[in-house]
Amino acid sequence: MKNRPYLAINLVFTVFLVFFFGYSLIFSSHADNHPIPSFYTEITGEETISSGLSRSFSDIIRGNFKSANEYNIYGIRVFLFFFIQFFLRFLFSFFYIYVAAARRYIVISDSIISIVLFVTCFWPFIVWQVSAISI
Amino acid sequence: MDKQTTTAGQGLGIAALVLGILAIPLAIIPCTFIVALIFGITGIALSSVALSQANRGNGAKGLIIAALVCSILGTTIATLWGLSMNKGARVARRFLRQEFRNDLDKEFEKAFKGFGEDMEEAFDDLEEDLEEEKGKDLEDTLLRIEKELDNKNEE
Repeated sequence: MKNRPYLAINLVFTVFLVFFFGYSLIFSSHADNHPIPSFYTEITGEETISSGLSRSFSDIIRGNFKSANEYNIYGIRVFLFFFIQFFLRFLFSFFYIYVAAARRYIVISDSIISIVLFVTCFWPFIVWQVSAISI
Repeated sequence: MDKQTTTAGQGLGIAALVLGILAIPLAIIPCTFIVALIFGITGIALSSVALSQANRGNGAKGLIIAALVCSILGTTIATLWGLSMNKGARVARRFLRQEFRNDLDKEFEKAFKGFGEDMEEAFDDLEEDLEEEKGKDLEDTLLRIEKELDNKNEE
């Protein structure tokens, strides 16, 4: 693995994403028992653009999309980013192992696709942050 | 002739890159910016150690530099959140202070609403009384002069 850092990174991200989906599955929105608090709300006492995101993820993984949308309107968008990334890790790892000649291009393609996907899915958050900083 | 690159610093570099990449989305989400700050700072520390290891052992530096860049980016975004939050809190405090001032002004206005009118009335009454007093004095003086004149005439 040390000789193939790309595969090691993909493996770590896959494990992280499994934990992320597990976290959403174990803790439910109805019980409201998510252990990670909103640090922003804890400090300022104000609601923010990401408030209700954990509860939204818990509802998405249970198929309650309408309820998920009510908790946070960007929940589905952000969840989709992690969901697509989960499959991309398998896909790019597969190509990396079996198409050895194109390894360099696979890493570059992965980077570009991931950046574009990130900007697309997190766009409202980026806009919100830029406006909050520039005020 | 170039020396062959080794795997020196690669393990730490991988760990730093993972932390750095994770720090960026976590920093963008306001609720998790503290986690991003921890990941980012740890990533910077790990990639710095990995870079020095790679320099000593002639290791590949591309991955480590990428880790350093991602960690710095994540830390910067999280720090900006912290700063903007401070700014937000300052704006909120200023807003609350202004609200308090407005409330205080309203209370003063309510408390002293009839006060001015009452004072004016009191002053008017006082002036009238004084004028009356003055009039009485004048009358008394005139009567006194008349009496004196009458007395002189009689003499």
